[in-house]
Amino acid sequence: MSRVIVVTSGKGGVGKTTTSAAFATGLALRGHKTAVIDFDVGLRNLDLVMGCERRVVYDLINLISGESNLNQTLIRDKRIKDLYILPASQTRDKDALTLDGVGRVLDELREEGFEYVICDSPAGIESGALMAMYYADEALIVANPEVSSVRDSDRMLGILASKSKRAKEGGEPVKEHLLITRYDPERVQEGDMLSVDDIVELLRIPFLGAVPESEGVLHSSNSGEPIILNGKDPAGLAYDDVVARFLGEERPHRFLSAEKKGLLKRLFG
Amino acid sequence: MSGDKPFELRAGMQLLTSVHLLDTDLDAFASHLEETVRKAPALFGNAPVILDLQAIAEAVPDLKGIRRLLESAAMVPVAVRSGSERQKAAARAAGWALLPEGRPVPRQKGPTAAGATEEPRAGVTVLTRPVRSGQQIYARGDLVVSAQVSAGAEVVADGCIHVYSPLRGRAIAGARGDTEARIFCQSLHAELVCIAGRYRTLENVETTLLGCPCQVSLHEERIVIEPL
Repeated sequence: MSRVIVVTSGKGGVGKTTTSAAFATGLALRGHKTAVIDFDVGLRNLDLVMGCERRVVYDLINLISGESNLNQTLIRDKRIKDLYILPASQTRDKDALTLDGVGRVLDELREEGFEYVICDSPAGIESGALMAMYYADEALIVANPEVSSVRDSDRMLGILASKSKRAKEGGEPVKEHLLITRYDPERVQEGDMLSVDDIVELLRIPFLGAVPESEGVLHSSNSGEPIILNGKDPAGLAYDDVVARFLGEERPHRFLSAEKKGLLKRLFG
Repeated sequence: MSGDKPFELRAGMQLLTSVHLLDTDLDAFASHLEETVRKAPALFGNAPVILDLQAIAEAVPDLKGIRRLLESAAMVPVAVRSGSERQKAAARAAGWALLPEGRPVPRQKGPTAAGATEEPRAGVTVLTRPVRSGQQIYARGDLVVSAQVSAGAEVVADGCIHVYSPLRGRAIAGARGDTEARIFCQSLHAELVCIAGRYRTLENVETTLLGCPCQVSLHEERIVIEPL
């Protein structure tokens, strides 16, 4: 039985693609056959973050319109055995993305034995975002610790609760998980940022984890290595915790409080 | 086919045109009817109509004559509503069916306390899932929300609104003008509260009320927010 998981936020630039790449990679590292789909037609990015931009031949739109088959279109990750990428089209009109078409692709992936399908949603609440979340069984709501991001996430939760397939068919609601990214405990302490507790209080959905702000993230997306593969970076470690928690493991939350700086570090930065 | 019954009875609400009689003069009725039908003939063809007598107090109009005129104008007279005992008797004699009181008497202002019981309202709507930013919920009667109402969400009810969680969005009670409607919430953070068209933003509200259990009501055209 495969699970469809949408990574969504409403707001742009909060870390959806970084999260999709890290999360899919983390699942595959644990031996789960995983596909990650880029729904951002016209603003293709996931292939860059996954480091496979030079191997894109066909894309999601080709697949939906029957110009290619699944095997031709899926890109197999070179590092991890069970990881596949389905890129977005950079040139085609995004109206070619249809609910029926997306449903067919997800069915095919299910038949191919994929355990997890991660849907990387575009920003906004337009058709691309609706397509990405329509078939979702679970949702990773990515929010930054700022008021506007939290409100947009709230909006997205409302859309999930009213416009997803599960909502329309009256089934069990989409399972929601809160993931806070670009978390900076020091700025939280100074009162510049919302704390985890504030955000949980505002959104009231289960908290999956917080990923700290880290310079490593920028470097990893530029070099096409998902951050979770970096076992030294705090963001990579946090994503590893997130995947483990998602799969049912108990892991204490880390990176939530500011590091205590020693005297020397305080003096010299 | 279901079972062996030739029919089954179902209660339902239908919208019917009602003719509110304002004068008992039959000639005036005839000429005004003719004019009305001429303006919009398609509206009245075979339309069932109700004759409402509330406005003419005790006078007994020529109910047989009215019936005949309506029929000749291609309408189907169905029943008389809101009549006095004498009017009802005359209606029965003229072959009309009778409907119970229709329109509620306009609610009296002032200290008549029995407010809540006189007007029949639609039932209660209960929501157990959060109302998220961008969602709008409308309830014809009272609205009870046991989850939160987020900033940017809007809950609207013809009756009262109860929120047993933080209320952060907008709450609009008495949407059809019921000035007795109230808003109750467990934790007040609303952007705006409104009762029967009178509204207030919470920008200047006493900060001691924010986050507290509160009720919002209308007193002499003013929105009043009190702790519970």
